[in-house]
Amino acid sequence: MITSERDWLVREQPHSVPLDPTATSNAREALRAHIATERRARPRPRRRRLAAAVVPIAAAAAVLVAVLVIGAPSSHVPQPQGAASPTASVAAPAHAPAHAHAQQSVLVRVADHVRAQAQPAGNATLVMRSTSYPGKPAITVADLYTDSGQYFFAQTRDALGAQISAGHNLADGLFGRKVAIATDAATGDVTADAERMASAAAPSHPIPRRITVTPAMLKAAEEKGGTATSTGLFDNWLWGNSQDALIAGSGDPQVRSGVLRLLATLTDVTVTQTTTDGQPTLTLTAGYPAMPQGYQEQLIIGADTGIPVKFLGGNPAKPSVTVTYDVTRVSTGDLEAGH
Amino acid sequence: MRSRRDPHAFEELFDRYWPALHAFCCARAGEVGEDLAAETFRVAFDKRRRFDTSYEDARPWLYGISVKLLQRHFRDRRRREAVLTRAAALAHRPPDGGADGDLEQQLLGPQLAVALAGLSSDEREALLLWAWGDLQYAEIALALDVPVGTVRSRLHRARRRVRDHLTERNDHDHQ
Repeated sequence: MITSERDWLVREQPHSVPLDPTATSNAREALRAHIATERRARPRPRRRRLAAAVVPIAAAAAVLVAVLVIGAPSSHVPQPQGAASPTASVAAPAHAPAHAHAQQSVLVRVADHVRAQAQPAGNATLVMRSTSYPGKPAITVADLYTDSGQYFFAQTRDALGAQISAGHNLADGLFGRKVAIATDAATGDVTADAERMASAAAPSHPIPRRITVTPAMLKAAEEKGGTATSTGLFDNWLWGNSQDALIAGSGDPQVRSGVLRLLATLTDVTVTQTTTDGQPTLTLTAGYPAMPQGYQEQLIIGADTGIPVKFLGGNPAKPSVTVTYDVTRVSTGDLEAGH
Repeated sequence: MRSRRDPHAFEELFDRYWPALHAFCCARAGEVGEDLAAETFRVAFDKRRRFDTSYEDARPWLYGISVKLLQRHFRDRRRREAVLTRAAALAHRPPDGGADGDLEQQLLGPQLAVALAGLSSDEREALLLWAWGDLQYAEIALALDVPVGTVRSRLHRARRRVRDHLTERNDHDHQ
């Protein structure tokens, strides 16, 4: 029976090197290190100087702008763009990590609480994102995710209006897909939605829940300083994609609720009650096997809102990257009008 | 493409395309493909300002980088093996243009090696980007930086070669 040549070629494609979380994380870390190296080696002084000159004006303008703050925490004050990101580290855990089941219950309880929250005003979520590497000043940029699935980016909040007016929508469907899955997970079959979320980047190449660890995979992983596990790959992708959905949909209680339910399915994620900048927070920590040994990621969210506050990644004792999120609800019309 | 201006967001590009690039590179080069896939993103980051933002899909650009890295990898290995062969005064290697193909075809396995035998490396690249990279003709043209017409003719010949192979195999199975 002659099949199409394309089908045959696809069927014959060698798959002798399965995708595993150690290789994925190593490659991601190598890329991060490379990016960090470029920042050190090739700074762009002209742009930075310009940005620095703009900051005082922009900061003053930002104070005048009426911004709709999401959710309950009345103490949350939107940061003007360019302002230094909070440097206070996460406080020591209020108590030792509890049993995994109890941790998941905490997330589900917060998810239920968040789901009941009212949809905030505005038609878009503005995320001021400050990224810092050790010993380097934080770099703050503005991400705008509209409720209709558009995405706009600018170096500063004030520059977003021009991007919207020019129609520079940079969304390509991926974040929208992750947000949609998270929304479904708020009330749907969380097990099925977890599988969709893990494979959201490439639905035609679904990430298996369990992989068969062969001796060759074990050997390859050990040579790279890790250990191959049957579930690490799935957990790694579910963790990463869920975070993406949480950031992009951080202004929507349904999305946040769905993400928390999805993360509650990860038994290797620990949840700790913490305090960040005086606010009650939950610190979700993903380590081995969702991450390679010796590497962990922490996502810090508001304890009552599920809103992302901070992300830390790297060596547990010394994070190599820290990202701080400042989430507000805004109106695209206001941004275009310069408010 | 946000990552062109925002280095941190380049990681999103990684998350999106790493599985596909990993599969493509490892299918071509075995375990070394893992390093080549990772290198693809490092090279892409360095060259991100050259990326034409009018293109909505970064895949052709990334696959184009991968193809160059794969070609360099096989070329380097061929050189090293040639040096070793001469040093050991082993058997004479035929100086045909498919020497890098020999290496690559070993990794592809016997069935694919037979099917792709006789194709030039250009034809093989276009064929595998079409089949394994899931790229359209115009996207392959972007990846390989050649006109679409060139891709069309390369793929016409390559696809016919594979189809001939399947026909021969089918006939053989029925005898």
